[in-house]
Amino acid sequence: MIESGMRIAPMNVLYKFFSLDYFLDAVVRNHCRTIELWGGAPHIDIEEITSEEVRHLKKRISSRSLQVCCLTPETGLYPVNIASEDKLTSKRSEAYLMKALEVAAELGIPLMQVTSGSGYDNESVDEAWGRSVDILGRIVLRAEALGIELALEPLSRHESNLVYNSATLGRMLADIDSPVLGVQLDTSVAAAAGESPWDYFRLFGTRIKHIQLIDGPDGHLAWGDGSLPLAQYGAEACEHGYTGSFGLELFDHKYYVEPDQVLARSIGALRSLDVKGGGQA
Amino acid sequence: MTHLNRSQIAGMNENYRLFPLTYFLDSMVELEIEAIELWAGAPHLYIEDLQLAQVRDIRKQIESRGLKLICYTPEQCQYPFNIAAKEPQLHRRSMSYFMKSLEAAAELGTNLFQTVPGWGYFDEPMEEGWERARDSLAALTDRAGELGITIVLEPLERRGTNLITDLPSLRRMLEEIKSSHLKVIIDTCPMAAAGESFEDYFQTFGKDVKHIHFVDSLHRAWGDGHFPLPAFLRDIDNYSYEGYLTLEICARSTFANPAEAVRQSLAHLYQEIDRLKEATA
Repeated sequence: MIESGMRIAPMNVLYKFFSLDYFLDAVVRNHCRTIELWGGAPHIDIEEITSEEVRHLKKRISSRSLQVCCLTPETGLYPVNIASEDKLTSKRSEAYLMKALEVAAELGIPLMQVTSGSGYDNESVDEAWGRSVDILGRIVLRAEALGIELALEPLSRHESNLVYNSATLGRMLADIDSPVLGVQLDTSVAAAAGESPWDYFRLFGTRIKHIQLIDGPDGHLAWGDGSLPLAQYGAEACEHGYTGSFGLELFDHKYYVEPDQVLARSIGALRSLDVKGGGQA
Repeated sequence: MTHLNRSQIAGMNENYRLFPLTYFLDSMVELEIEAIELWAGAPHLYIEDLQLAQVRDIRKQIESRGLKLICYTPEQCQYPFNIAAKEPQLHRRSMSYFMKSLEAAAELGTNLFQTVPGWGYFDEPMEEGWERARDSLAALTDRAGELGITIVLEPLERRGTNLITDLPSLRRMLEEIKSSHLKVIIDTCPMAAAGESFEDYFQTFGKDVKHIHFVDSLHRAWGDGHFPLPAFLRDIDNYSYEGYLTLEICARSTFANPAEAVRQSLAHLYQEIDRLKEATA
């Protein structure tokens, strides 16, 4: 069972219009002990946050006996793109991810999510791909030095022409070729690309570092609001010996006003699953 | 007699974000749209990175194609910026983003600038965020006045803010600031979400309605949603509105082929405008 509360990891992006403390209290109220930390304003403004603020943040998390399984800096909404042909943008984007790594290290978070960025749709994919490989390669080296692992998440095709499904993800892993760089599986993004966790496990096995178990395929939905087979996904993950957390990256405008009931509903659906627990359960 | 003309329809680059800005400009020329509204967001124009010299180059790109910039709309819902932010640092950063955006608008030669109210934490009293938003808007409006720019204020849907979500809250803000440089923009989506109509807006604000974001439901291309296009156009025409109607299409499904979404919208709009002219001839 996923019931211990160890493996379900609520994520603060659902509470982006609430204070971070409000979110942390909601996690405790739902008897969860792990969170996936979304690095976005106003909760964590990666570009601006100071060491003092990070130390304060660490206290706010640990005083509630919570642990963070993954830091997911906002890259989709923000003007961050490591594959940009604009030098200023790519430089700023690299600095952003480097800073995020420092934040993860100071908070003692073992894993950080990264994405490939994107090239223009009317220009050569190869050049943008090369720029992405170069910067991801440097991020990987820094992560290794800090003892942090990375999970590369495919974007949707509406966001990127680089890493947007399991095939392009496999190609990027091969190009970077480092054990530090693993895979993040977002069940909704995968489903939108016509894939399921099974495809990912078959291709990547234990290189899957993190799973965001969310309903879809049109959006990042709470369980029951989409059409994906949650029980089957959970079973597939556990069958393959996945021992990580299940991040609840729920975000949809309709959830923002009353996130409490959305979170409770999703946690309830996961707890009702008869899925054999992994090492942490 | 019908007042509304095809030339009042303006294009916008928001759904062209997977392509360079020049691609969007060329597309407008091809679609025979003369008026454009500039969405200032990456990768087209991210103001924190840009120098004014680059802004001048964008102006040249617009004018050399015979296009006319009718409004500057900085990205403010996806990015960290929030003029009502509680955190002093985030608030300072947001104000500097908007002040710089006003300078850019002046440099680009437009006298219209769109702004949303920002938001306060949903778990704090609304009035606290309101006061921050009001003070920020007053400062921005003062600067806009110096630059000869009018700011048009747009309500958001409740799911995106707790401050200005409907006509009464918009009117309250305008009355509290009382500036000839702060006027009204109607966006079809928040208007419909609040259960309000063009008639409500024109009856309340009259000629202070300076701009309209005119899209089908969920910011889709016309024909892809469920808004009553003929009724909308008739209302707008009844009040002899002389400003622009911008196709602010943001639906992700249009990102891969943005021009098609504009072409489809224009076909619907032109047909209805022609019908209106026939009916009232």
